[in-house]
Amino acid sequence: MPTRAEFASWLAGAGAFIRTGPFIIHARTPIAHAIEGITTLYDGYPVTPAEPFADFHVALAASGGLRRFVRRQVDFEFDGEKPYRPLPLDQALPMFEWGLNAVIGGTAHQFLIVHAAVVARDGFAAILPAQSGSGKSTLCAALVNRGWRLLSDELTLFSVETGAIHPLARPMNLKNESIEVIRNFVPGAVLSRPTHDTVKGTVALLKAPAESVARAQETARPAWIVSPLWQRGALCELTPKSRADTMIELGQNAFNYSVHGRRGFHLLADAVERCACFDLRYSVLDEAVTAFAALEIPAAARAA
Amino acid sequence: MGTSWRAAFPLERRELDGETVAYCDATGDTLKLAPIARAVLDVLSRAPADLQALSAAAAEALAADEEAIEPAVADTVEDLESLGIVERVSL
Repeated sequence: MPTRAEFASWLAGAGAFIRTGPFIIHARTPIAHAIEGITTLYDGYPVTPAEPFADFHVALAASGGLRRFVRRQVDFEFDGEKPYRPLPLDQALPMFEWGLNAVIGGTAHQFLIVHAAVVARDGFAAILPAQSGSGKSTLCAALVNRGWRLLSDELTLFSVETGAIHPLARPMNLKNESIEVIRNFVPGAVLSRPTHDTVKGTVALLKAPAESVARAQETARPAWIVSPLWQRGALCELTPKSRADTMIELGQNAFNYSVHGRRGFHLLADAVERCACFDLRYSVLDEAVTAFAALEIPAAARAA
Repeated sequence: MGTSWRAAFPLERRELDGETVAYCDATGDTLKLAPIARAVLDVLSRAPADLQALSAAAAEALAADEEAIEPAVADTVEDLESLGIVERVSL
């Protein structure tokens, strides 16, 4: 593993090659606070100064538009293009993560990709599809600090060949009150400095657990699909959900379903058939974690 | 001559615990089919049919009264037509 100083110098120069899950990301930026954030959050990942191949070539660069005279901005570059509108310069680090999510979701068609957090235990995965603001990432962050392995807090990568889920253990995106909730829930949590006034409010990125990063090549079999919803004051309630409704929800949350067509439809249906499906309403993280601990592995998932 | 309909294209279907989900190639949408829609599409995937034949088939599939179910079948056909899943034909 490189030192943080080496990692930082590569990012600031010709770029660092970061291996995360099935991908190699070639990243570079001259922006000091982005370098500090990336080297903090990706410290411990396999990082090198050169590779013969990278899946994604990305960069963060100070924007050259006229707005730079009013408020400095940052561009996310992907393969030399700028696919997104620039953001204020202080949002460079969240933009790096959001931009990566978008380019992976939009281009990694060797996977069927669903917008859902996913965690694993004993080789079996729990998929958490949910809308923004449902508490998905907060719950994911809590679970991976209570015995579950982080596969991803944002992108569930189904192998089109086998239906297995590939890990993509990257930093977890916490918003607003969740930042303090997780600071208290996970003593010693490594978090980026909060970034204020983003489109999602105040955001901070939580470093993935080292064990999840180390086991980044271990796939997991789908076993549970749990749609979480945080509601202030709600009693923790895990309610069985129809597989058909779960299938519709997964389809609506898929990034590249239409790319895979019928094959994607049957792949998702196969996964749903093997999983136990639930809605989870909760307000207290410990109660939700306890509910997850009690999940039994469905026989169909074991047999798959 | 009455109106008849036919399936605009074949749908991929899966049964999940007695409920039906279908994938529409033309739009990329996944749909959950109500029992009446499933009965209607079962008929129209084989051959064009009019409202009377569809109501008879739906009544049999759902163990319902044919006359009573006909308005629901008509609504379902209208919905499926608006989604482009079935289309009118001239016989």
